Amino acid sequence: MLKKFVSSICILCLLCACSGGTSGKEASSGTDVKSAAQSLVKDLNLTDTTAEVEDRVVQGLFFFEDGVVTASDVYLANDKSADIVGVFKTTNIESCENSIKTYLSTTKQQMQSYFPEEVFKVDNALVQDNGSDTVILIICKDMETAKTKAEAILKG
Amino acid sequence: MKKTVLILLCACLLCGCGGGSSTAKTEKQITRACLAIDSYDYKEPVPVSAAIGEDYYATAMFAGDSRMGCLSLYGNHPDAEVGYVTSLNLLMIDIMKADERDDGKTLMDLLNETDRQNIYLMFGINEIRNLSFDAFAEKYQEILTTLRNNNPSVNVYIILAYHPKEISGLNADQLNTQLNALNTQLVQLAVDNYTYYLRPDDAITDENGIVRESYVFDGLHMNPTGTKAMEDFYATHVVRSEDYVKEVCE
Repeated sequence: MLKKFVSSICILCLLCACSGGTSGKEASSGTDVKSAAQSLVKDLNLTDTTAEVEDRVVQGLFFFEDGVVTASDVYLANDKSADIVGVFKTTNIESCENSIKTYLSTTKQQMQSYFPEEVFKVDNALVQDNGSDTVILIICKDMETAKTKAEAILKG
Repeated sequence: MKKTVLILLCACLLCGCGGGSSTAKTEKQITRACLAIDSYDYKEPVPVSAAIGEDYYATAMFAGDSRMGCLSLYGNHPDAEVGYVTSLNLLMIDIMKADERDDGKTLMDLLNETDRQNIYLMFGINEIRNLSFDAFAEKYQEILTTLRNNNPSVNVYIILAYHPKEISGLNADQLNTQLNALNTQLVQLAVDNYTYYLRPDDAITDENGIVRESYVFDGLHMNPTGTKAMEDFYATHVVRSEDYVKEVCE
């Protein structure tokens, strides 16, 4: 009886571990956006001037509609610039990009008041997607490199 | 083995008895119970008070976005600690470096390190175009909790947003709606945290409730005249806990 009970518990534990795999998938998708964002930050020489922000900060800045962004990694400037690198996994590219456009519009207005020299960079922000589930946002000085690197990531 | 267990059990019982006598002793020492009753109404803005002396500023820290920067640029109280970040979004308070410093510290670093007893916070104008203030309020709450954890007796003054002349991207109605939403959240934070809040409008706005043109140089940021008006307002809106907290003893 006891053996049966113990083996049932073991089976339950194994099942739980398997279902953990689903959230692991999410985590792995999160890891994808993470490594993509990290490599962009490195390639664009933004390591010292940007910092990775928490998921709740991302939502507080972009106001994505519920369920639209399933994983993201965003680096924001720690100085007075508008620099940003964001990689977003999305279920709805149009909605995701609309939220990003709203962010850009707000950022532009903000920069016009405080740091007008940044407005040009915001105007030339890169918002690019792979046509299915990933959107990349970049504001930085070196937009040529940004475009090349983003395309490479989106082509996968 | 059984013997050891028995000895341990006896020792525990003896300790238990010892503890009992110490409890009894404590109970005997308490002869009366006192209760501190705070009659301050946290739902209301800080009322006018007698003006503070210059020594108060050595106990005060003013932290905020660029609106707080006027105290650093034109302030008349050198002992006051001022920390601010131009274009600060509160969600980035622990990322963006504070202005006028070379050490790379963020405003959150400064708030964490300060030992000032009276802390004034002015945040929110850079979030005024937000679709919601929920994330802002959550972060603000986190800061209030941190300040209280660092110093349980700290006095925090939340400063409501005054009405600027204009904010780009918002028309007059939208600006009013957003300011009301922001200030409602700020008042709620004050009430929830038993924290004071300041409504500077009467001191610095005109008959339409908009900041006086002679006080600002760009419709939002205070010039030296406006800074003086804000300082006078702070000086005459201080809560002295002895006026509100009474100790009642049985």
